[in-house]
Parts: sequence; structure tokens; C-alpha cells
Amino acid sequence: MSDIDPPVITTPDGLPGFDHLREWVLEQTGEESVFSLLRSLDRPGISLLVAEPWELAPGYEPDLPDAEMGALGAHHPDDVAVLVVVRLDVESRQAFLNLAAPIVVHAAKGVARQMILDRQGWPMRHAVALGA
Amino acid sequence: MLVLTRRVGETIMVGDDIEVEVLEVRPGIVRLGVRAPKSVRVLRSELVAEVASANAEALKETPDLGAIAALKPNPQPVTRSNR
Repeated sequence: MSDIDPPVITTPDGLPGFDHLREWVLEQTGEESVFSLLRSLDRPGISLLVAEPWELAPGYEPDLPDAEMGALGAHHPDDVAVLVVVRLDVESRQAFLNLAAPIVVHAAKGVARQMILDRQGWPMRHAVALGA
Repeated sequence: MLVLTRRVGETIMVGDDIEVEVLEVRPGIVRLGVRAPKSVRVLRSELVAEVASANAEALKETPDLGAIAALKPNPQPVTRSNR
């Protein structure tokens, strides 16, 4: 039995298109990996691969809308961690990051929202090459 | 679908907390203003659909954590695009 339980993250409004997915376990994949896994507790066996965007996509400067931050109960950018959804395409050796709709996590409260960044010009599928 | 007819300046209440106002009408285009609680998303439908679609692509059977940890992504700078 692990003596450190991975944190449970709640998305009170689900995710766009997935209203019913509200509880997740955030699992690290490895000490040096930028990738983490949001494992669904509502649909066992299903997960969302996520990553911290700052190293992978230098230049990413999301402007998190006040209304969304308020809904999350976050008063300051330091209250939150930003994760982006990743789609892996192993055959083409690429990962696609959704920079237009980050999942913003209020770490202390264990609550998150996927915030759609309207008209900020960030790509919904930002390609990153996967090396050997 | 509930169909209502409004003139410029008139509003519609959706539930108790959401109000939609017709701000301007031109041929083929209407400008709408929405007052809603912070927790309610108000967005162009096609944008929400695009995110839902991207989420559907990304939601997968839980992979092997070791395989994910072994991935070596190469950073790729990003800039905003003008739409």
C-alpha cells in the first residue's frame, strides 16, 4: 500500500462534451516526465493524458478568464496549476497539445475546470515531436 | 426549440440567472449580450463542439504509465495565431 495517495481532482462541471466525468485521480507517470494521467473514477479504465505546457510549448501565455478563475475560487494565478490535454499519435511520433482549452487546477481545493480560451489564438492541436 | 421574437434592446430570461439581450441587428447578423453567473460558460457553439471533439479524441483506455514516462517530447515553441 502506497503511503502517498495520488490526489483526487474534481471537475464540478465535468469537461466540455463530458458533463458526467467529474472525479479523477491525478497520477504522475515518472519523476522526470512532464506527462501526468487523469484517471477517471466515473468511467473506470478511461484516462486523459495531460502535461504541463511550459517546457513543451515555450511561448505559451494563456490569459485565464476572470470569470472562470472566479468559478474555480482562485484569486491569483499562483493558486492554480495549468495542465493541457495531450493526444498521442505514436505512429507518427507526435503528441498534440490542446493549448486552447487548458485544464486549470486549484491545487489546494482539489478542484479543476477546463477553460476554453476564446479568441486568444492558441492552437487546439499543437504538435510536439516525440524523440527516441 | 422555443422561438421568441425580440426587438433591439429587448431581452430573454433563461432560467433565473441568465439574461440574453439583443444589442444590434443588421442583415444576416445579430449581436447578442449575455448576463450570466461566472460559473456558466457562454461561448459560440462551434467552439464548445471543437473542444468536446478534441476531448473525445484524447480520452483513452488507461495506458501503461511506464510507456508514458518513457516518451521524450521535444519542445516546440508556440505563438498566437490571428483568426
